[in-house]
Amino acid sequence: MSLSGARGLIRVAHNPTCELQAAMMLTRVREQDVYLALAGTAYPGEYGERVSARRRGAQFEKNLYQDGAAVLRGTLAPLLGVAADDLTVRDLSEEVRGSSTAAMEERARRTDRILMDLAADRIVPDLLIQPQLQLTLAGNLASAIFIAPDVLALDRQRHVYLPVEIKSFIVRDGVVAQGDRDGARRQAAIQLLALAQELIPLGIADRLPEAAIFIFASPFGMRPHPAFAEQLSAELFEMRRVLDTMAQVRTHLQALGADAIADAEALALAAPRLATTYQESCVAGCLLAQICRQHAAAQPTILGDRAAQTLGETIDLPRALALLHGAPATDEREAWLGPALREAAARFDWSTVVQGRAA
Amino acid sequence: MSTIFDLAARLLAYQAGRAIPTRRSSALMADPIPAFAIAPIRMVAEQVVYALAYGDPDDKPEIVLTWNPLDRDAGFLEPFAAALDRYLSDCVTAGEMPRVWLAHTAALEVIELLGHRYRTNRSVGPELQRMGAQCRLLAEETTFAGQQIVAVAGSLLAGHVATGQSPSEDLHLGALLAWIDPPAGTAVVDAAAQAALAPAAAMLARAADDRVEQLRARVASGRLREPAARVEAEAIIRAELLREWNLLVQARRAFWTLGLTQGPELTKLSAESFKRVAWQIDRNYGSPARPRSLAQRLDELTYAQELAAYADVADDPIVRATALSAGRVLDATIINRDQPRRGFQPCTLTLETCQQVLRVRAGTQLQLRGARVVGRITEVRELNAGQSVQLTLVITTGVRNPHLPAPGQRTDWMEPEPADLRYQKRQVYERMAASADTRVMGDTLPLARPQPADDDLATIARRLRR
Repeated sequence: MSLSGARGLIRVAHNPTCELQAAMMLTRVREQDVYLALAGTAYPGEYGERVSARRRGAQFEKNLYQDGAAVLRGTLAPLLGVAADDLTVRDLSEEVRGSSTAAMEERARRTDRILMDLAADRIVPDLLIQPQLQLTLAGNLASAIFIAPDVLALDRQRHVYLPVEIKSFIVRDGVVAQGDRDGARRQAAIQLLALAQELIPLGIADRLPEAAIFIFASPFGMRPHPAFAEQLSAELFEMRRVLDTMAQVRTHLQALGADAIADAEALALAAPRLATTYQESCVAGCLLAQICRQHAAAQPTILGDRAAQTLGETIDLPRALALLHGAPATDEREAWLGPALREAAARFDWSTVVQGRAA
Repeated sequence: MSTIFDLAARLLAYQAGRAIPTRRSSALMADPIPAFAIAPIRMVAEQVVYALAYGDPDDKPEIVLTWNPLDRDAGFLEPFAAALDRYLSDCVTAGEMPRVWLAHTAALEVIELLGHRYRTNRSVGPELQRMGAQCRLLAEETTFAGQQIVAVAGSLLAGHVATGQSPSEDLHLGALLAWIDPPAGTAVVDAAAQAALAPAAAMLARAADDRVEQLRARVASGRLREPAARVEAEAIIRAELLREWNLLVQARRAFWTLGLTQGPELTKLSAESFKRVAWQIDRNYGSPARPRSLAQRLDELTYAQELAAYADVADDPIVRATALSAGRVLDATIINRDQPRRGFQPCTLTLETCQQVLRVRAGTQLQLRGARVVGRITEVRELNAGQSVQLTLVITTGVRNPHLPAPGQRTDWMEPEPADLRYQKRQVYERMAASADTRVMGDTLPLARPQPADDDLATIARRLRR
């Protein structure tokens, strides 16, 4: 599984201080290959999207796009303020089939032409299915990645396209699960950034609002829940910061003479010189989490982000335990922390806790 | 749990190489006999049910399953629907609290979805609609603090022990169990990491999932005969289902072997839980949506929250110690008892405490822990340049109580048991509904009366004073 594309940027957003992760994305080296190179064995757990999840997602989208995108038009019409029958559609995935680089480049060319028509006030389709945008990373044209919004929907009043993010996650009682929603919002923010990059040379980027449209599934089969639009100012800020991170990591790689890395072994060799910041969220999303956890063996972060915030950068776990057991404080922070930990520990009879090996 | 308390507990667990209890009393009343356990397996993304194992967690489970839940035939769920209805109805009829065990919140999510999908679904029979209503009822019950009907093992364990790993890692039930009962000969961190490789989220393991998907695809494309595919897929799903069931059984056992005490206040929480479920068991209610029902729901949730917090402090010494350090419990010695006529009002106690954090002032109501003795603070005086504090407490309830403390006695005082005003509030809502005040019951606000354009703030203030 390569970390290139929107997925990789979202991962960097979760932990922008991890240079290794950003480097994996910049060098387009597969994550499981880096694991193999670092651990010496193949990753023992599951990774990548499941077939069943992919099938569901593909089927949900197919249901929206079929019959001239009848369901999609019906879902977006109330939000766009245009009757469903009046919405015009171009499906680039039908016009140019396949997922080869050549196919993506052709879809990108067609998308560019439509955006130029938009800037020139010529007639453009209301809905553009599977367009292809490009996002330049680290200020380097060679590092541009393809970003494919599910749909671009024309806001006729602003005369600009908005990304439409389609997810087959289920909405219950009008609520999307937090994790599902966060991921979709970040993905849409990346699409907005890519769209903005394309619109700047055309002189119409100022028309673009900081918003996107979302279509999720209802609990009943493939039926979509009513579409809704959301402001994405926070996610856009976060993603712009990710682009800054990518630029910094590229500079760091160049300084290390490692910017030409193209395989996992070379990246694994450079890894000790790249910062890895293990944090709680790594467990949920990164294959390398256990490796980084081992390296962070005595760091407070292995007890969670809250523990890390409380102990700070100067107090590791053995020191925190020493303070808990009455070691004299050496600074102001320890002078506060020691008694607080002792008072907290005294609430349960910790003297009866088996004094076993440290984890 | 406070940040420092959580940190201290995790540090000690890290040092010990095993989880340590963070409570001495259980937040869950003992299981009735029998309890009922449900272990579901869902199809990832579709969130439809592949299989359910259910029944007495001390016995072998019953199993219902389908190898192709996408065909929309929910008939396979009927034996489960009947068993769940029988269990809940029998408990309610007998006036006994039911107890339904689930392994983790992912399992609860599946139960909640069964409620969403079938409660009002006209394409299924009344048995499955009733199952949907009951699943919804169970899922909704979990939103009430201190509820005693649905036991979600992962959440319960995480609320009663601390591990030497992060809270995110605790979310995996297998990893959490590794810390509670570390296997011999393996470092607990390795055991937890190993356990976390298998999903504990009501889903098939990756290889099993891919294989079942492949079998279905091959049948659909005519490359494999359905009976052969079905046999293999069902065997895979059954094995995975039993893995989830065993995880649930292991987690339940782990919880009860923590050896926690049962506090007396659990009885009240159980009675509340039972009342809610018994009231709705035969009613297929939707979520509250109107002002009156929403207000009532908010009251129910608030009361449950207050009662659960009260029970925690009253029953558990560790929770109480935490409340004490936050100043929400008063640890004081009785200096004087002024009660001219024994067993009668007036009765005034003078208390003294050296506790550092104190959140009481004149007017604060306090209850003696473990007794129906309630009083109101009338005076707070600092002594010895703030080294200690003396308080005057006028007893309002319990002047005849044999537990009324005597001079020299060390006592714990806490916020009194929350007043149950739900009945009175319901009457208020009825009146409001009857008056049909548009400010409460309408969809739009009434138009504001136009103000004279030359009004300034001073003029408005003068008019209001009249």
